[in-house]
Amino acid sequence: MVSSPDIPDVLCRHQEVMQLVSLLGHPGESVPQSIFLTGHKSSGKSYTLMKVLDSLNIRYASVNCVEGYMPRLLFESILSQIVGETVPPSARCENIMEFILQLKIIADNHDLHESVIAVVLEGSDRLRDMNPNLLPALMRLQELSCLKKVCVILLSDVLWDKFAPSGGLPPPIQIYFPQYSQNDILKILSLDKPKDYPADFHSNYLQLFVAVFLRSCRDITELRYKAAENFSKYCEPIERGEIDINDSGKLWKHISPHLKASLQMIYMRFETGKKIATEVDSGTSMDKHSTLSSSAKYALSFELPYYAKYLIIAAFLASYNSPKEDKKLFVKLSGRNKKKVLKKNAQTKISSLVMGPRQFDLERLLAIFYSIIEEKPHISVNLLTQITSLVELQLLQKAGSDPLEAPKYKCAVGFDFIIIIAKTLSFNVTKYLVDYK
Amino acid sequence: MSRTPKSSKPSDKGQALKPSDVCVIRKILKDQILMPSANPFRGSPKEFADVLSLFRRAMEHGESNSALLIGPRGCGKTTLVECVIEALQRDCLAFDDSVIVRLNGYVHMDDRLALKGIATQLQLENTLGDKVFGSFAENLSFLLQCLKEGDREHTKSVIFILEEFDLFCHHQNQTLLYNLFDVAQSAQAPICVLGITCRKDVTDLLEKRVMSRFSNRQIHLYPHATETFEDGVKNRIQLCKDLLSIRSDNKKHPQLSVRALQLWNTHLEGLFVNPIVVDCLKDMYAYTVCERSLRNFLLLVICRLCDDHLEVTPTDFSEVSRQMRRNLRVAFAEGLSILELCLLISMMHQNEIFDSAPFNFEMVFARLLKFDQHSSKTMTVDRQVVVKAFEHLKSLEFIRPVSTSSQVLKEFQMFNLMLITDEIREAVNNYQGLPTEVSQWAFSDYT
Ligand SMILES: Nc1ncnc2c1ncn2[C@@H]1O[C@H](COP(=O)(O)OP(=O)(O)OP(=O)(O)O)[C@@H](O)[C@H]1O
Ligand SMILES: Nc1ncnc2c1ncn2[C@@H]1O[C@H](COP(=O)(O)OP(=O)(O)OP(=O)(O)O)[C@@H](O)[C@H]1O
Ligand SMILES: [Mg+2]
Ligand SMILES: [Mg+2]
Repeated sequence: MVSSPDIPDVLCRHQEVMQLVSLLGHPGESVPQSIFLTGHKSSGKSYTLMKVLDSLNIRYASVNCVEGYMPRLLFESILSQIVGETVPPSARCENIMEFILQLKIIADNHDLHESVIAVVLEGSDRLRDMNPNLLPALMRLQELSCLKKVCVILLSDVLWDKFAPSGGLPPPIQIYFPQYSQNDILKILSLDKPKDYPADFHSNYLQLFVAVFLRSCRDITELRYKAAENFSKYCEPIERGEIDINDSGKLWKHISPHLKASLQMIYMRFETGKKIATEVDSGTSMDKHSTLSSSAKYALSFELPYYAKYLIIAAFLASYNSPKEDKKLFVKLSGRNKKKVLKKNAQTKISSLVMGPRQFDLERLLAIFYSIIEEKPHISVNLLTQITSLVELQLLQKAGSDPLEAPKYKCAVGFDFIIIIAKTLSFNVTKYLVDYK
Repeated sequence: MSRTPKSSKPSDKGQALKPSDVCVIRKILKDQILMPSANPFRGSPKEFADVLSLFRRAMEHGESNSALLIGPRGCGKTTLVECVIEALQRDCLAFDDSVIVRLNGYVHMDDRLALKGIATQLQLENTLGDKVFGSFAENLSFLLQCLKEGDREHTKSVIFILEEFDLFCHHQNQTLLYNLFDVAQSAQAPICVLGITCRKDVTDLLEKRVMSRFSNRQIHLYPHATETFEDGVKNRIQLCKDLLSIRSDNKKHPQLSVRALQLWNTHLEGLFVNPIVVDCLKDMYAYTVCERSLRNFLLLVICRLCDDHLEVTPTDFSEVSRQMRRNLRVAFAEGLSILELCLLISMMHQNEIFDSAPFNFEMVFARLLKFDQHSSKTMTVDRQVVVKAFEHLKSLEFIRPVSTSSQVLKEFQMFNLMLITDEIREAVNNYQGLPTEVSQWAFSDYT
């Protein structure tokens, strides 16, 4: 009598679990050559698959194609996971032929011809960038290795359509993981409920949280991280005894600016995130900073020196104005003339601001620099090192690599960056920008 | 998933399939659909006979030859060859005195590997390992020589099957091909070389000196080339019936009672006259003739059999068909955040206005800002967040860079949109909880 397989419980993924179990879960039945799991990032593909494989007790190897940039690492990792110990040096696999050979040897030695072996390839879209034979060979592993129970499971957040152009790929069984709905997201997020708070308190918080975040982000991993981060903020005033746990109005007022600030730092888990957060906390600076956009924070985080600021502005002007306009703009003679120029150009519609920067040479940069800066820099200031460091910070881009030609540059930062920098100098850039409406 | 309610089971208790029967049936059918060995070659008798006689002459008379088997992907080339081999195994006395060497262009990526593969399959890897030879030709002829040194006077025939033959043409100097064809033509040793490929123009890839040693025998396999659509559909349905029915002479399944087997086969008869089922198969055939897709389809249908779903129903067919035909680009777009969807709409309008000229981040961002200014509820359109949204669309390959030059700044790199307007609008229509302003914007006409 065939016993029915163990079915793991994964929230909101019942259908996908059932499909995987029906394909892999009956010992003794044939398995398909390849299965392709597709869905957005963090839609639970890996999570669900691992749960299913574990509860079905299937022997599997899971490798991330992003890490395994060398086929050898990929192969050896797969083999050692299947055996359950690191492969001996004698089993080196430089190529797919040796891999298949070793796989067969393993199957013989461990008596695996009748049990399912799953080879899970995470980030399988990256395989397209490796040796062009690798993906087609892996997708036919069953045929090539003559192991009837080998199943290759590919995971990707890129559609199968985008794999096919490389040609010759047998169509896999596709399982699509739909994006979680708002309710699903609330359910999954509430799994993270801290022990010491009541469930409805946490779910009230999640409602608020999701209302702010869901418009910009549906990535569960990111949402979980952000929800946990902000929940501790949410609870702080309760722990300090300042707000009652049932006073949801006050709590909302308290958390709302934090949520908004946190939203701007989405997908960016680096230092500045924490720095800003502490600034938001220290009440006084809060109003000022919470209205700052993240690009402003980014611009200010460089803490550029005075001349460098003017240099980057000059570079920006050189990048987005045509050299023809330079004279009219920067010769500080008549304000009247200047206005005329600006008016006339305001009519031309396609703004160079969306077309990208043009190149300029050092001479032009310095000419503009000298004309926009108020006081002339001291002769000892080495402007060239400043330029080099701007290039190093990747705020300026060096174009052209011919060592014989004079170097050319492009400004690598956008308008909003420049606006912020200019503000710190009380300098009006827009006045000098032909295309600014 | 809607399982058929219990009421649709035949009311007579004795007439119904038992769950244990269904388990056995599911296993048998999965094998029939998936296992190459359970899969006899159908159709194209002439081509089958050609390959059969080619191999037979090599085995029985030591006749050297070479040929190409050409046909589109999935048309049954590998199946044909494997069935030929099986047939020979059954009725050719010289079979055990011959060796079959299978090479595959995906696996044996250069001639060094191919030689290693040959040595392994001739079980001569140790012999080769000791000796260091100069040229490829010497190595190959040494390997073939080894086969001669048996106790018999007549040497073993070797049949070389080269899958993905076109890939071997890209090996340096086509050394392997040159040597194999050379041995075959000059009959230095009894070998037969069969190249399998899906490229019709494959002989154009052969160098002159290689081509002149090739017999130029080509066997073409185009099973669907001459059939009409109606015939095709009829064959399809017959094929499905064959794959899903269980042959009564099948002694391999002692667990299955004759009664259960008959019940199942009668049930199938009814299924394949059902208009829903017929339409599903017809639709799919109009869409792809690929037999692998059909088998995937049937597998998914069969997978729906379980303890509380004991029969295949027309609903199973239509649901699996819907699942397989679903436009995942639209489904993916529905899974985006509202911000990302808005960005897609900006791109769509950008394309309408500029006649699908490539765009960069700044252009669509400007368009998004404009929409945001006119809308009543202001969204978060913080630049960094939008940049992330844009990058997400890029990583999904919804937009593709025009060139991959690293000289251009990120914001100004030009892209093409890989979705069409209808797909974006369909996603907008299906999106749950989208503000009406956004959907109005998506459907507004800018041209
Ligand atoms: N249904 C769920 N129930 C519980 N947790 C889930 C669920 N779905 C996702 N998660 C959580 O979200 C995280 C991300 O999911 P997972 O890694 O499976 O996504 P993925 O689809 O593989 O994403 P990627 O394409 O980035 O690899 C998991 O670590 C898991 O903790
Ligand atoms: N004439 C046929 N007889 C039996 N089975 C067939 C036939 N044509 C196709 N198939 C089935 O279609 C699938 C693909 O067949 P096969 O692997 O032989 O194709 P192929 O021509 O070798 O493809 P590729 O060029 O991709 O290697 C197999 O499952 C096989 O059973
Ligand atoms: Mg994953
Ligand atoms: Mg084949």
